[in-house]
Amino acid sequence: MTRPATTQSVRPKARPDLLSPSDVARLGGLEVTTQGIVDGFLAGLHRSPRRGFSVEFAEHRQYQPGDEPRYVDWKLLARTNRLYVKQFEEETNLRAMLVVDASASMAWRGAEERLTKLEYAARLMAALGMVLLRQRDATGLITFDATVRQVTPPRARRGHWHTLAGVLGTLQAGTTTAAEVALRQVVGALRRRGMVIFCSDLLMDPELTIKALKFLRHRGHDVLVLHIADPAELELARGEETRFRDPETGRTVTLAPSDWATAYRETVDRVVREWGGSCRAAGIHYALITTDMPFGTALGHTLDAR
Amino acid sequence: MTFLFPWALIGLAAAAIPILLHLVERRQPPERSFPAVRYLEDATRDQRRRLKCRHLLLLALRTLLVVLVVLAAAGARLHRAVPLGAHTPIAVVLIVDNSASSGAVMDGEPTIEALRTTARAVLERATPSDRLWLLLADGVARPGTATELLARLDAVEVIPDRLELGQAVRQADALIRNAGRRGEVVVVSDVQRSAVSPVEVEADVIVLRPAATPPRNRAIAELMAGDQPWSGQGGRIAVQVVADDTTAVAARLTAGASPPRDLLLTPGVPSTQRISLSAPGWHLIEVSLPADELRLDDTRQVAVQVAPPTGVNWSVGDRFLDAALRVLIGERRLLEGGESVSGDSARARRWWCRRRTPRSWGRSTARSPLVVPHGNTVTWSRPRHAVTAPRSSPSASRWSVRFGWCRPEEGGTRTPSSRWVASRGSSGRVTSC
Repeated sequence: MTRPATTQSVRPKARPDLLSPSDVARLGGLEVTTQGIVDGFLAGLHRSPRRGFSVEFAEHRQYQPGDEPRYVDWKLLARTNRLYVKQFEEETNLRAMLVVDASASMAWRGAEERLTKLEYAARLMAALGMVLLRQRDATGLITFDATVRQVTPPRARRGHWHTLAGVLGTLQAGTTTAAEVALRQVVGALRRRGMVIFCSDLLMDPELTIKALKFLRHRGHDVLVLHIADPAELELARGEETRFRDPETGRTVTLAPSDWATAYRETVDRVVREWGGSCRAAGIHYALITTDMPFGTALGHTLDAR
Repeated sequence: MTFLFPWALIGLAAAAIPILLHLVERRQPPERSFPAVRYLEDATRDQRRRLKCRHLLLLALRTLLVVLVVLAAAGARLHRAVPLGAHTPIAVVLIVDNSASSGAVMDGEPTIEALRTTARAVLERATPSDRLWLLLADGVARPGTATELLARLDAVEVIPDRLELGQAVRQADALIRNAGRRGEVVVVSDVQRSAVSPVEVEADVIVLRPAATPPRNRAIAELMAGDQPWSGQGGRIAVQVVADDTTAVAARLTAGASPPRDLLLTPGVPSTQRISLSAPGWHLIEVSLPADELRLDDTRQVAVQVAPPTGVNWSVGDRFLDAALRVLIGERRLLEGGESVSGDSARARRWWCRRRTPRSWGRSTARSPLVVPHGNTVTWSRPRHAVTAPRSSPSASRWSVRFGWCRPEEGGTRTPSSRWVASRGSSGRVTSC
């Protein structure tokens, strides 16, 4: 991939993956900023570029000082009393599918200085796609709202990222949310075991969504759910009585936030716990990511889950 | 429920303030897009109904508080509606003030009618086992059943008497004590200030008065003709008017058959008027004010008696006495004849005899000196209408002369002193000249 000429001029001295998402967004377009995010993230995360994020096991190697303990095969140590580390294939044929929610609720931000959930998700998915493609994992993209809006099949070409970035960069919010249709679409796109990264604000029917995610898990895919939330959605800002209108359904609720802040907070905590519990019960990784979280941190949460 | 200050009920409009505030608070709040409405719905689903009930309860309490404050300011009083037969037997003395003041017309209706209606309501609540009395301004307590007293009440009229409420309540309390049961004294009166006096009683006293403001009243408080009878020269009357202010009041004075005379009287200031009445006999003097709402005290009358001239006989012989009596007779102060008295004029002593009669007989006449030679005897006949015993004349006493009225004797003989009978109103005292 050819690095754009403007990258040198706008590259900040600080690592972009640790900056505020809104600050990063002001540095340039999605492609430019994603490059910086991923570079910074990988520079801080990996000491050995060989290790990658493949999931395919290659062989065991005798432990050498300096190896990370996380790759020690503890089971083997317990059986044979020998210290080995697991090695993975640097180049795998992992097929990953990014499933991005582009419903109307995603085009919302609680403050002007923050990105909308959709903008944040687009940048996060672009960065994740770049990471995957750099290790030559085939990566695809599905965007959806009430229906599946666009399907980009997984490709491992280095130039495929620009295709993904082009889709994500022009992504516009749609109407309502119907995630189960998009998730079932993944089954057709990933014929072999792969990884599904589901990025959404999860303002949808939990039962149907969990059911679809379980189906993916049942098909042998690794499923990662990234719950994108604006901080203003987690904590109700106190103030005078307001009529809250759902941008998707048009339903309204009139209340005084000061009276309901605590109850709302408890409800959100309960919903997050339920989503996390349901996902863990199904072997699905779940991570709550807020839009004020630096992209590097969000990527770390995502890849730690892996 | 009754109210001491009904105008304060205007404040009930303030009860709408909490409701208005509630409605104002329900104005359309600003709308804001918020994706997590489903979380809000979940958070408020359980508590929204309870919160709504709490708001409505708070609204009701605030409204009730305002209403209670207004009712307290209006002096609301609750009257228990006791149905017939719902209370234990009691003794009730119903005092109905049908005194003169109850004749006042308020709002086109005599006060007595309002009092009668109220009294009827009291009697209609009575049960057959209750003991009832009806006490009117005449001071007579009339026992009876509710039906009897209702009939009696319908026949009550205004009488020109004064009901002293303190005395009436005390009388009613005595009746209740004698009845030997719990009782109430119900006073239905316009409660004139002059009729109220302090009293301590054991029974419960309930005073019911008309709610309307008493009308302004002017009254003739006093009309006195003084001592009677008057002489042919007439006399004086004292008249006094009372009113709520000191503005002079025009009055009309009518004395006997004389044409009416207009007077200008200042309330609270006694006024003396001279009346000329010459014809002997009884005369009616009337003073009247322009009619107001209380007409019973706008007119007051008094009867006066004008005495005929005193008859006199004297023994002829003293030309001075003869001349003096002739002058008095000519002025119609004395009347010659009627009684016959004999006497002599042997005594040379002269004395003044100042006739002392009841004061109203006429001072001009009383102060007329009569020169009576010694030895003469002069006898004045006692007027038939004299009702007051004459007093001894200080002047005559100073001269050791006793003076008085005597019963004329038939035949013109001298009346012995022993035959004078001292008896008030029918005869005079012994006198000798």
